[in-house]
Amino acid sequence: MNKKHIITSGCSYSDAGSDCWPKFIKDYYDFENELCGLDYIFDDLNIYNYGSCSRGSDYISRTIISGCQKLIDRGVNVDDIFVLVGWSGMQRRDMLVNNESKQMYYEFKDYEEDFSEVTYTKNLPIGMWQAFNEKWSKFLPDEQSYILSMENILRTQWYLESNQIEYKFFSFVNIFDYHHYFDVWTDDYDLSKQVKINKIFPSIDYLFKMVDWNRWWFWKDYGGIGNWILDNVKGGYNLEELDGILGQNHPNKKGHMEFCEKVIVKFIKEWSNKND
Amino acid sequence: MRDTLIVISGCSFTLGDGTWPYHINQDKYGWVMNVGDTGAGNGYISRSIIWEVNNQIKLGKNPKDIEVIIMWSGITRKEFLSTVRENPLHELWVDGPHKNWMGNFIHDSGWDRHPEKDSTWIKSSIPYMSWDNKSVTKFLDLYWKHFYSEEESLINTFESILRTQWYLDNLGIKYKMMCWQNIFNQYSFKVPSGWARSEGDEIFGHEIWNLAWRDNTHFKTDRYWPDNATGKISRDTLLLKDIYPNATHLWDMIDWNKWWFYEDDQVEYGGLAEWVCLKARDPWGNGEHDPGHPSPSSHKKFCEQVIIPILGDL
Repeated sequence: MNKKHIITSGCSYSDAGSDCWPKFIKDYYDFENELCGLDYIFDDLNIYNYGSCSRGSDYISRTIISGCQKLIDRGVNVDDIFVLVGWSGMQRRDMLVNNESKQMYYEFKDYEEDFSEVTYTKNLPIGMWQAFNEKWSKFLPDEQSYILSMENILRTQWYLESNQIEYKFFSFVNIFDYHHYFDVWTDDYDLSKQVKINKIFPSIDYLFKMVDWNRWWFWKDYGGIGNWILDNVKGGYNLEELDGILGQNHPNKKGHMEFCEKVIVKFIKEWSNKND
Repeated sequence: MRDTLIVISGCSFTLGDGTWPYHINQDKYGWVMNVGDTGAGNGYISRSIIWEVNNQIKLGKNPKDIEVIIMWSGITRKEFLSTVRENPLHELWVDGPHKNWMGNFIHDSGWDRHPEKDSTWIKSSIPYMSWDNKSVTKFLDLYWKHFYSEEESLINTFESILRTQWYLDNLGIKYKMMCWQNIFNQYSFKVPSGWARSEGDEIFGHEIWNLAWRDNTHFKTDRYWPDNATGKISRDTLLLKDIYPNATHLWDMIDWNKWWFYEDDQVEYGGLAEWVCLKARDPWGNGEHDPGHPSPSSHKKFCEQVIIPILGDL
């Protein structure tokens, strides 16, 4: 059997370095591990985790497309690639760090690269991008930011489909409801009472309808990783990080391990069964 | 052929009086829908194509009966959405003569565009473009000063091209892409002797092709490319994707078999502008009122000699 390749990306809810779900996929593959049995499925598995704190759809789309293309260029069969994406806040926007932007922004002063050669993000030749949400928000209305994020999602979808790469999309929380990602949500937060972005901004509707929703996983009404963990894993959020999204900022290791076991592993098994 | 719908987009080299799409014989080749816009950048062009193709499919058109031709514009251009909901200056921005800094590609069945009073795309056009609406110009000046970099714009252009390519590929829609003039190389031109502009002056991009350097006046009817100006212009110059290697992986994914370019000993990756000047050898300019664009007669020739054979081969 060919070596299999799983590519993941997303924001801090999908950052393997922060004990998020991508980190635990291999646990279900490891023969010695008691938990589950992906070891029965694959002879060999590589996982490429591009998820990173505070990143938005600009970054996620670029890492997925470049990550897949890197494997294809290396000769990997597209049937052996599976993509998992935890899409992030729709208002997040990046700025390319290069010699021009270094002159424009004090925030970039500590970059020591001379940027005359290709610069890598997590070994991908896509350049170095920095989250620039607040500054871009002075230029881009929410409506355009949603449009740009929908276009990033669609570009990724169309890339994967045109290359016949299997994938599953989901979101960090319910990103298709209209809210700002800095909003503080209370315990009585009700997914079913939120308003979808295409109802607020009709100009997004045509993009919304082009998304292949069959490729998405949601918890309840367009809920994401955070919504699932809050409802399903007791103590799944890091209580020391108060006042953030869903009352707490981020799910903890326990929450992510259960999310991986009960949600993610199912997707991988489905992909594996399709390949059989 | 009559069932065929030809969806076309681009900038002012595509949408304007007498531009090439309007010379396509619709009885023979299919119904033309030109969704290009003056000053449009590549983000807007990509959106306009995707919206229109999706709209036509929604209306019942079979993707097999849709053909697409895109003439991409300058990489520097960018669009910002202004809405009455979020922009306190919106009313001011949609006011003024001509309104050519605005564009909307969404339209209803009667081709009435989404009302600008609600929202509109503000087009940057070329760097530091001076629009008749001063408030818009001031806003865009901030973009050029604080946000713009050539490298990021190149990446955005490649992403717009690829988004469109993958969308059309997935639907099995036949298409051809081209550009208004070379947008992929870093090139310039040194003014030869004997013309109004000083010999050796280095000029760039559209300034080369509009040939105003011959006479330094607003408009002349005899702006032909000089027969003795035979040196290389974009030919063998550096590609922007090599100057900005962070864009190379995107360039490599573009399906270049789906492109048309005009190329000769002087230019590579050329577009309509090079074709008019160097192949058709037409005088440049669309009259006193519009010296910056090819004439309807050049557009007609371009349509007959380039576009029609492309439509025949799609």
